[in-house]
Amino acid sequence: MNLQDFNIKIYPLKDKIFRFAKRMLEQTEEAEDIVQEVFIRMWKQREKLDEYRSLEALAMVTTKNLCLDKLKARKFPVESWNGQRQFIEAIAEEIRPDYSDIIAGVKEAMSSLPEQPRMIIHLRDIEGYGFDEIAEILGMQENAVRVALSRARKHIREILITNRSYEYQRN
Amino acid sequence: MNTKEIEGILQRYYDGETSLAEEKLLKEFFSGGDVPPQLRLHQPLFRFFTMEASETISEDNQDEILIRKLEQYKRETSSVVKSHPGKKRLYYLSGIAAGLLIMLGLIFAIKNETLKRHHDEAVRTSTELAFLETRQALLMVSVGLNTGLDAVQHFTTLDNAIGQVHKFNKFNIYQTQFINPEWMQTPSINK
Repeated sequence: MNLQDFNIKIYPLKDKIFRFAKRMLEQTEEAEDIVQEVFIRMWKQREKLDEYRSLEALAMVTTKNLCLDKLKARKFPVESWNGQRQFIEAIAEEIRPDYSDIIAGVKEAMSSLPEQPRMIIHLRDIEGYGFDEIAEILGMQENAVRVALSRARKHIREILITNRSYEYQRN
Repeated sequence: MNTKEIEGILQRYYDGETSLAEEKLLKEFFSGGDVPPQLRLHQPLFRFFTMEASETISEDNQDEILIRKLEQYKRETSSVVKSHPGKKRLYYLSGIAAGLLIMLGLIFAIKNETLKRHHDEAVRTSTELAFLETRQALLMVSVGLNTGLDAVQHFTTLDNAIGQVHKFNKFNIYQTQFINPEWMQTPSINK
């Protein structure tokens, strides 16, 4: 694979990788770092890339692994700093006019999901991947993906119902 | 698309049974303005999905990040290359040295052990040895004595010889008596 192939086949994945990383890390800067890291890793093994069936799946697997590593490394010490970061980003989101409270509630509900169902619902409902692709990226059985997806969707629905009842109480 | 149909698809959506096409249909339906009140609960969910899917990475500082990452890699790889041969050699040397030390230690320990065992044995058999030594010495003495006896044997021969000589002497005396001039002169028998 030469630079031109790389630019055609892998570079356009940058937004997908970014969104996936941001969903996992909930932080723009770190997600941007992950994108470049994934590109570098892919470039380093460019000789072997032709052997892979799906470069997109490979890129997403790499993203997933890097994000999980980062989350593992993060655990406690950075928590407070990360909280601040999230607060600043929340303010930035509020400035966006189309980002209503209710949609922010969905985002919160997504954040409350554990890593795996969050990845599944992101890959399916935001990126529109098929079950086979999700199974490949996450290293799961297709059926398990389906079950986890259903559970995650219902979990979000529960939160939406609770939020709405609060809103009724307020009004 | 009527409400009943949408409700059916929604039900299957939450059960994880919808196809990608049906999910796309739901997103389109909820992004529209005229959503019936009983379905409004689900609207933010699909709006959120649509909105999130359009988020892109900002191009502003991507080059900066890439350069920083590459420099980090360069540092890592160069440090690996630099330190590699020396470190490797040191590893091998330390391995060899450790092996030699262990071997020397073992040899020393074994040697010590065998020496100690010999010593113990010697102590254990020292009385026996003393006895054997004494016997050896006594034997030597007795052999020496025997060689002395051999020499003494010659004395007996001499004694015999002297005995012979003695006999001869007796004969001589007899002879002198026999050839006594007195006897010669006066035959006593005839007397």
